Parts: sequence; C-alpha cells; structure tokens
Amino acid sequence: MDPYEGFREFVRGRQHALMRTAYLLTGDAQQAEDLLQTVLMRTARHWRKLMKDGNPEAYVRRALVNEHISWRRRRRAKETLTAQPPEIVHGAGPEDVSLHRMALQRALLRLTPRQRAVLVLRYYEDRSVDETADLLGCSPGTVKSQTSHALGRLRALAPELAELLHDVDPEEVYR
Amino acid sequence: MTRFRDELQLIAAQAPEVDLAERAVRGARRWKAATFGSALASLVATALAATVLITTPGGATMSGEIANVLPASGVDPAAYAYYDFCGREWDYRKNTKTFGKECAQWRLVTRTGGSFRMPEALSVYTEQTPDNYMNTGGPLEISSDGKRVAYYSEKDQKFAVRDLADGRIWLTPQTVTRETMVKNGMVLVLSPDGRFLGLLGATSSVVDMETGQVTEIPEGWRVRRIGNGGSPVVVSDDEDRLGLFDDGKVTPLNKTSEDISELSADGRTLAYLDGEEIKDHIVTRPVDTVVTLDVTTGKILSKAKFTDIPGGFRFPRIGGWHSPTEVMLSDALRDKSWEGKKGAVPTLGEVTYAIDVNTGRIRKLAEHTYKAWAGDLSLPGF
Repeated sequence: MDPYEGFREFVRGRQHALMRTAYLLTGDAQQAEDLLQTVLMRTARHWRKLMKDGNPEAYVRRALVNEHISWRRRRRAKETLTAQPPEIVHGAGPEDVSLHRMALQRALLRLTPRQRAVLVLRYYEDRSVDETADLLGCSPGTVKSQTSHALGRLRALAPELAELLHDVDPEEVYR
Repeated sequence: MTRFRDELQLIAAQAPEVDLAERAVRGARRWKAATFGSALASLVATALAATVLITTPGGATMSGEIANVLPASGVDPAAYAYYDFCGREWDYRKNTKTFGKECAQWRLVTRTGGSFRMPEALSVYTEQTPDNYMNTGGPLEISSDGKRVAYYSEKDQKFAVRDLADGRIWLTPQTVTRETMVKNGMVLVLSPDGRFLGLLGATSSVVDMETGQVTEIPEGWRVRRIGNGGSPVVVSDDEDRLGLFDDGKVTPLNKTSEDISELSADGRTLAYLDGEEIKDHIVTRPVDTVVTLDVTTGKILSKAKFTDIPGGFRFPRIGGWHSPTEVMLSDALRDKSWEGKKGAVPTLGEVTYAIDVNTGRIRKLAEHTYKAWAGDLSLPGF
C-alpha cells in the first residue's frame, strides 16, 4: 500500500490556501515556500496516522504556525542569504492604497513571529480567541494580550496606517 | 470586514502558486538525511548569530534608564537618536499621558558611544488623543555629518538647530504651538551641513538657521532635500513628482520618486531607487536599481542593478552619501531572538548599508538598536 495515498490530493486541494497563510506569516515568497514544504514533509511522514485521526489540515495549520515561531526556524531564517531581493509583491492601485499595503507589509515584518501569527490567525483566518489559542498552544489570555501588543506595535511602527487600523475595533481582541 | 482585514487578504493573495505535493513526498523519503542537515545548519546558524551580536556596532541600549542631560557643548557627532517609551509597553488608549518622564525623552547616541537625553526636545505627546494616536511625538533630525540636531523646542515653541560641538542653538523665526504639533505634526528636513532647515506642515519653507531668513516653497510643493549652502532645493508634489526650486519658482524634473537621497558634495547629484514594476495594480518586482540624477539638468547620470545583496535586505530607505560613490540605505531591524524568553524585551532599530551608485554593490555598515516595545529612531541624513 502507498503510505502517501491521499496525501497528494490533500496537498493539491489545500496548498494554495496554506501558502497564503505561510506568505503572511513570513512576508517572503521563498521563505513561505520553504516553511510550507518543511511542514508538508513532516505531514507526509505521519500521513497514515493523520488520516486515521481524520483532520490532517488541523495538524498542518498548527504545525505551520508553530514551525514558523520555533527557535530553530528563526535561527535558520537569519541565515538565509539570497542572490536577489525577496520577491515582496506590493499592492498598488490608487496611490494611497499601494502605500498603505507596502507600509503594512513593512510593519508586519517588524513584529515578532508570534505577534504576526496572532494577527494572521485572528484577522486573516478570522479565528476566535479560543481557536487561536488552541493553534498556538497557549491560553486565551495570552492570545488577547499578544493581539493587543501586536496592534499596538503596528500603530507605533507605522503611523501612516492610522486610517487603515482605525476600524479595527480594539475591543474585538477580547471577543 | 475591516480595511485591515481586506489588506491582509490582498497581501496573502500575492503569494505565488506552488505545487509541493511531490517535493513533500520526496522530502519525507529523505527525512533522515534532511534532519541531519538541518541540525548541522542550526548549529552553524547559532554560532554565527552569536558572532553578529558581539560585533554589532552601537549595540542595543537598555531602556528605561535615565541618561545624563546633553552637555552644553563638546559633544561628539551623533550616530543616532531614539525615544523608547521608557521601555514600557505603550497602550495609546490608556497610558500615553504617563510618559512625561525623563526616561521617555529623546536620547542622543554619539559615534563614540555617549548617550544623553535631550529635555529641551519634545518627545512623546502625553496629551495625544486616541483619535490621533499615530502622531506620537515631536520630530528630531540629525544632519548627515552628525554635528547638528534639529528638534521642536517646547519652551520656545519654535524649531531649533543645535551644534553639538560648540553648543550654539538657532531658533526658527516661525512659532508653532505645542497644540499644533500634537494636532497636526511636522516633518523636518536638514541640509547635510545642518545649516538649512526645511519645514513641512500645512505649508513648506526653508529656513537659513544662521541668518533667520525664511524662503517659502510655492503652494502644492514641499521641500524634500536641501543642498549645502541652501541650494539647490529639491521639492516634490503630492504625486511625488520631483522639481527644482530656485529663485521663487519650481522647475519640474520629469522624475517621480517617493524617496530620494541627500544631494552629494557636488551639490547637484542625488540618488534614488528604481526598477519597481507594476502590473494590474500589483507591484510585481521591487526596486532593484540605484539611479543618480543631475538635478540641475534633469539628466540621468548612472544606473546600476543591485549586487551582493546582504541577507535580510528588504525594504530600503535612502539617505545621505557615505563616500563620493556610495549612498546610504537603511532598513528596519528584524529581531526575533527575544521571542519565547520570559521577561525579554524586543530589540528595535535600523540596519544601514552603503550602495555603490556605479556598481550597485551593497554592503552592510551597522546596526543601530534599542530595547523597547515601541518608539522612534532617527539616523543622520535620512
């Protein structure tokens, strides 16, 4: 029996969504691909067991976030040398929209991996505090405080995002 | 759905499409070898990171400490300046008013390692309202030779330029109230020698700080760079179109750039970064070229693609000239080492680089850092 039966179909069905999350977490296409590939390789190793458990995607998402945050991963990321600048793709359109998006990308990169992960899970994947806490392996209280810290740092690091962040309800972090 | 969520969705949509299924399976089959390789890489990376920490110039300064007041004279040129909210966590809704303290003042770090607070330079706006929380503090600019500093003097309600060596202080003729600063903010531009100060608010002007002469910039334009001796003055409009201001009028340069270098020692050359490509409203390629421009003729003098790009180099700003052929770039420091350590505080700051305008070669110069959750940092010439 092929130990990877169903794995390829799973990856092809979910990899674009996973890649988008990885891209937001890392801010860099090459690192996002590296991160996702690392996690999928580990998923493949445990595929038969994960299939039996019935929810391989939950495992992949948890692994994606935690691998991104982990110490070893961070150290390896510091070592990455590139011949070309990372292919950060900036949004454009109306001038201010383009500038806002570039500023947000810059500011996100200046957050810590955990702060970035909290914002991605809460505001990109629209997860509740409890779901986010479960994925990060921490308490809901920690998610709330990390969300506050992350939004606060975005505001401090990128004053030009005032209008963009204005309609992020600060109380929403306590939902 | 908030605009913040919308923007995250749009950024995520820029992720390239990949097909990782086969690569993941192949990787899983080679897992043992891959694990060994990763462990080896991890050991090497840790050792290199430790080396970087030891050799980093201007290493992280501890926050919350109260530094000595800047001496009246005899101060060495500045390497950078920052304020750090006393190293405490800042919540714009709750505790802004608590930062009217000595430890929250602008702190100047000299090239020789001295660290001094500047009580006369307004830093955190303690009365700032949550509705205007992005305007967090008074500006401070350092001339590219590090010898003069421009700031908002609260006691005078004017902008000031101070010579660090001889202690002379010049004030602008114009008065701006603290209330106006808190409400609207103000951007400052210094000439490389620190004699001329550009003001960008509701209107824009250039002040010769040594004579007090004020030159108003025509409506619709704002000062971007000022040469030594007060000329030339490079301006831009709301769409970042560059122009040369001289004798009361602006001559368009037919170039657009949102970030330009200081004028070089010849008084006519400036550099900017180019190469960005946009398709269907999406920037598909970031800047990859440094261009020099003769502002007196509007002619391009040189173009060079980036080479020898250091790791971690991503979103550069462009500043002053490091040598006749190299211009300074700066990028935000991305510190991850504190994460997961109980009681640890992040290291914020900027990394500076020099790029050769003829070859495009980039080399790292220094890291300027401070320990804090939030703050602001000013580098000479940026």
